[in-house]
Amino acid sequence: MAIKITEECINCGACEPECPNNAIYEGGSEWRFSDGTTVKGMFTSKSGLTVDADAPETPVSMDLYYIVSDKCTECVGFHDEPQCAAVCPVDCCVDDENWRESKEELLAKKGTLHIE
Amino acid sequence: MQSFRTELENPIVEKDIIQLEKSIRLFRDGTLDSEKFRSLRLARGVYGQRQQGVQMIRIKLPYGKMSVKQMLKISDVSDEYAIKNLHLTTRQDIQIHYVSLERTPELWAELEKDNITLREACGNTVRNVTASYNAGIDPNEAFDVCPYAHAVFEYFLRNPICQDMGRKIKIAFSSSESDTALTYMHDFGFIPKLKIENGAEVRGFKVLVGGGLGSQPFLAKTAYEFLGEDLIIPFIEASLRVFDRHGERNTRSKARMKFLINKIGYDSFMELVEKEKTANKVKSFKIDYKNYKQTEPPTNVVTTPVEIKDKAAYDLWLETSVFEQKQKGYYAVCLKVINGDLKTERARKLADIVKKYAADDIRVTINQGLILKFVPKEALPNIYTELSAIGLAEPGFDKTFDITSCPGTDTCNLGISSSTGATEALEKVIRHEFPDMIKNNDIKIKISGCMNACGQHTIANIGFHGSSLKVGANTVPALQVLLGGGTLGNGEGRMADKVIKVPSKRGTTALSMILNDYENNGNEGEYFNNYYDRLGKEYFYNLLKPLKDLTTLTPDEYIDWGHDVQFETAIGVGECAGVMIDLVSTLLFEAEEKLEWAKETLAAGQYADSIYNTYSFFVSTAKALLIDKEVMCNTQIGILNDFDKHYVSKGLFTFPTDFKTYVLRINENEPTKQFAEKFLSDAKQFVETSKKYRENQLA
Repeated sequence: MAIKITEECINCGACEPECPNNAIYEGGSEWRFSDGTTVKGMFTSKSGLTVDADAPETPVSMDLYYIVSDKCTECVGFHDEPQCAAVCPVDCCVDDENWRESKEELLAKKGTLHIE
Repeated sequence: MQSFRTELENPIVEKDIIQLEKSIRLFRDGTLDSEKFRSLRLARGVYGQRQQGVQMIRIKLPYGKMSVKQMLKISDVSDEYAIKNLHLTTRQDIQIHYVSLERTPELWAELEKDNITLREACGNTVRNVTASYNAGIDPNEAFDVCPYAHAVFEYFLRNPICQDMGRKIKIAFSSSESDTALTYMHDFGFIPKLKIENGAEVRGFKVLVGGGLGSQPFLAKTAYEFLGEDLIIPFIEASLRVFDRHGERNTRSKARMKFLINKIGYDSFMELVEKEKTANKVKSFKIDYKNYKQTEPPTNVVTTPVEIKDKAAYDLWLETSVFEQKQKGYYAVCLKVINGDLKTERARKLADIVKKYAADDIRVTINQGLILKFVPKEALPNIYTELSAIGLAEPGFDKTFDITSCPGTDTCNLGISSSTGATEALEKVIRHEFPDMIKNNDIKIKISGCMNACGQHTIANIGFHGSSLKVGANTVPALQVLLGGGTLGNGEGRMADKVIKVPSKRGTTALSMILNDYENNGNEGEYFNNYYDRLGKEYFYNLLKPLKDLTTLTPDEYIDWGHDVQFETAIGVGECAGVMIDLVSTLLFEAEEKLEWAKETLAAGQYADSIYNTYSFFVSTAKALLIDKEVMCNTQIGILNDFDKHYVSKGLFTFPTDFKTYVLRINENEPTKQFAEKFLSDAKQFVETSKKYRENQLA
């Protein structure tokens, strides 16, 4: 599963610097695949989205912090547990029931975002 | 209704208070917009509270200093208007709670009789200027920083350049390299330095810039290793001008100066500051430290023979809460005040003790205690005995045992879970399980009720901040455990790592586990942070992981420290934010008000102030006209650019240059009378052209 931020978010921003994939953005800010990853040029995400990695994409939420599911690896391969959830003061970074992925899939996803 | 009067002699202060009173009336009858009112009252120390309908009042005490008379006045005010308590804060202010809004002007007028201000204690202004509690008496200090802290406080109070910034500014002065004022986590930090030039001693400061805690902490950068004493005010002034112009205004959580520096880069920031110096009111500001009123030792101290019953307790107090000043033979006595809460009844008894044995200079310390100065050595047994009688002769000031805590959910709107209740529980753990820690100066414990870090948990060796955890439909109060923060000295520091979040009631066990592990696994003489670094964050995560198991929760764990009913989160929004009012006419009206101030200050010969007011007028008018076209406004510089884009380039307005260049003449010209007059007359012309434009639009 990817992680999502619920409406209980208090916009504190504690999660943002913790994300190893730079998948978390402030409400209203545009996101990019290339932010915090090694992705370059035209990129096709695991969910099938094909875009220029450096192109700004429409914010997922205008008012609250949001997680780009296509960039979230639930911290697999980085940490023991999702770091956003670990630091969220109000426990509003939760599993996204509509975006389920296995550990193997998440590791593969991490591989596409961070080419060593 | 009879209009409000004060008996104050200072007309500027009186005007301020009368304006507050008038605004309250206009707000109550609905004439004054509530957001606008909020920003006005915040700049006058009147803050909201978790409890509806009452206010927290923040009393601004530069570097925490107060005389006995002032402490008694604040106590009287708390008795009359609040709840007979003084809350000592980590920024050396005193807060009183549960005050009725209508009574705030009266309260302020009362305080001003003893020269105590509320002005710019909250809001998007320069907040209280703090300094080391031991400034002026520190045996290791190059010189006393108090005259400098005082000059900075006075210079920026009511200064037009910092009345309505994107966010607040915090300034701290440390007495020496041990950096007890924590300069590395402030917007501006100063550490005194001396150097010899041509055989003469020259005073200056190491200058830190752009630090801050909060949910995204930043360590400050070194702006200067040595900046001459008369250049610190010009540096702050130019920086504030840059911050006002370029700082974020829409997103409150990204508006502190640290974010601006991070966004545009430190070098670009410093270039802008350099360029802005032309506009400064002063190029050099000599701080007259020789005329600063020095604290005098008490005279006629009468000591009487007292019998110390518990010699061990007395010795422990001497060792951990008393130190000899740089003025030999005199001692500073530090008072540990749990949660920073001092009842006025105790404050009055303390006042009597200070009068007998100490100097007339009491300081609020950043760990929410108090410090008394110039106690003669022979009076120590007497003062100990008398302080003991009122519970203020606790050992372990600023040691592990002395936990710092913000008020958290007790009164703060932002609090998530209890910080003061947790503090009491954690202090018990140390008292009973780790009595030796009372002497420990290496491990500091700090707690905040939320991630914003008023309790400074981010720079604690062991920190906690209030949180919550979801368990099915219920919520459990929780504490985020942070490890490895601290002061390294000379402007360097480290931010703690967030290690794990545990239910609040398990915070005590977490502390025991960490301290036991340190006792068992720390090497001989190894500092706590070195031990933390050696074992690593992962080790501590695994150590504490059993506490995270929510399948073993007991009913008691659903109830927060100091409470008896089940926990629920109730988190409000902070009040410091700038306020956006989108009524174009209101904005234009306010812009013209700035022009009035520009005229007043010009007439008074305050050219730099007049120029700044004119500058603010240009920006506000442009903003109003942009909002009229539904253009989103954020930074001032953005407004100048957008005005060119949406108005000037379309030929709707014409200036001799583009609008941005036209307005930014502010930093191309020295603040002379001639330029102030020219700038103002150009502004008047802009009033006319914008009025005509609006009339045509509305016609």
